[in-house]
Amino acid sequence: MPEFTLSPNILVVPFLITLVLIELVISKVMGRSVYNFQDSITSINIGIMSQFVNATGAVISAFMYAIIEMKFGTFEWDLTNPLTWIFALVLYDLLYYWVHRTGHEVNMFWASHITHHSSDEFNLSTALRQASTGFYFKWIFYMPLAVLGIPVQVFVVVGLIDLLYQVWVHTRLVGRLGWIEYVLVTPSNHRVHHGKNDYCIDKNYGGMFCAWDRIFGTYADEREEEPIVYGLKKKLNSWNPVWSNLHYWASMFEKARRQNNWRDKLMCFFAPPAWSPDGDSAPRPLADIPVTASVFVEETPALVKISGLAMTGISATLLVFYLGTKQHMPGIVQIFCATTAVSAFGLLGYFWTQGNKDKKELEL
Amino acid sequence: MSTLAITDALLLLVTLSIAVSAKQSPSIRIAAGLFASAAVLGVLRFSGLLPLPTLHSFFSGLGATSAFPLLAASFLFSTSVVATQWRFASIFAVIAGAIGLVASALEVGLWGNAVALISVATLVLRSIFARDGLAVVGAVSLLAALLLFALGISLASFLQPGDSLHLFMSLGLLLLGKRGQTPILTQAPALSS
Repeated sequence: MPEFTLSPNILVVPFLITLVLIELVISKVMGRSVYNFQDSITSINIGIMSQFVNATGAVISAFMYAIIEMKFGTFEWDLTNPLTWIFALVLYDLLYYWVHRTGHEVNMFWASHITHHSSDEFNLSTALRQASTGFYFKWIFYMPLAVLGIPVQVFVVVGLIDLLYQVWVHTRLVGRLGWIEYVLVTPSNHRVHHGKNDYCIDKNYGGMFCAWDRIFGTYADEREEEPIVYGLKKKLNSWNPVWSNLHYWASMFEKARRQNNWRDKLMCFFAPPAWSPDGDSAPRPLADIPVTASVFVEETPALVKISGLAMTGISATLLVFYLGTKQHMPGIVQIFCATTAVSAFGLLGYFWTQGNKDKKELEL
Repeated sequence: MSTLAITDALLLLVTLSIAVSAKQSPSIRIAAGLFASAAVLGVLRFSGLLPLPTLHSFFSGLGATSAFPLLAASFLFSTSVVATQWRFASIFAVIAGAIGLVASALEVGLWGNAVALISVATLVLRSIFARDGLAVVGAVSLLAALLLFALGISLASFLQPGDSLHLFMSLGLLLLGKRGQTPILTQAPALSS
């Protein structure tokens, strides 16, 4: 039996799932319907799968950060001084703003980040719906911290604080928060970010502080008179965690393949997501986009529900075990474990998607 | 005060004037901005005012791996989106810089030198094909800057190899900056004819 080491990221898993359950209970008490069973189970599964992948992928970021900090780190920082941590957190959040903005405005980065936006719901489980493919580019944006000499442990801690802060803003149960709306990213502020209404597109990229959006002109207030519609303009229609990570990559490569010249092929990767060969990059108004019908049954059969819960329970347990023991595994074994987890999620996700499909819809 | 501080100040003046000039294309302005960042850190370092050698080295590396290719792309593909739009010029610079950082992390020490040399050599060839005298002198100056620095050759006994780099880069960028305002591609005869 491999040795189990308890680390903060292990505690995060049950903590986040507990938060989801608390929000579910509160929403029931309030008589609000903010959860869809299949959607939430899929969000949690996507989150668990991303942890399997990113536990290894994050090593790349940390490795690059540590090397650059060691080679080019300019200043010494007193880790006992709270100002060091505050400065690092604020700068991290500024860099996060640009990571996030690039994730929306450059197509090949959107191909990763789209996973987080693929839910038609907006609740705490949506916060867990994180991409498994984002680690390949995000590290680039945090290099200024390394060059300033911020130690890797500070980078990891402020990164975790910034990430955990962003969980609670994924809720419809909290209204506007007065003066806080001018300082911090809030649920109201972040609901706009997840909306597909025209006024919501490419707005509110901030992670913790909304000042960046106000400074760089991407801030939008929530409009009470226009209820927000969540999700993608083209519905994903899949409960498969692997497909939710790969569907946009597939369509992006297919779009590039169809182009007649190299310029347009490259534009498919580096232009904004709405780019078309006629040169137009403006997002299409929501009203002009045909509504994609859901292919799923509204009421999930009991057996499918049980299988979904079992899949999530087992994979969460395996994730905790993996995170606690991976430090003692060779890199190749870690990659094998992550690959096995992704394959299992792909297979189970396929069957679960099929099990949830509306057969009448298919016959039509 | 070291002569390096004075020659770096000259480079700073030239690159800054290009970076703030609205007549230049976005890609040339970004490339010049990266060179200017390295130059200002060089002035601070070699004058002894605020020596930050690792930061200077970092921005010099970015200049080699990111600014030189961006400069080359600006002239080779002067009507492309990389040359004409801030967005794509920035993406190009970030990706080229990121590749440079990976090379640095993997201890591929020659990467920066090779990228800078290939970029400048391409600029020289393009200027010759375009029969543009001013651009040829500018590109050859950049090539001379890189070669003299790599070979550790000083122009005079009181100068250092770093001075050769700064002086020839200043001359080269000044001339290419003049050309950048009227892209040489538009003046070039079609290569296929």
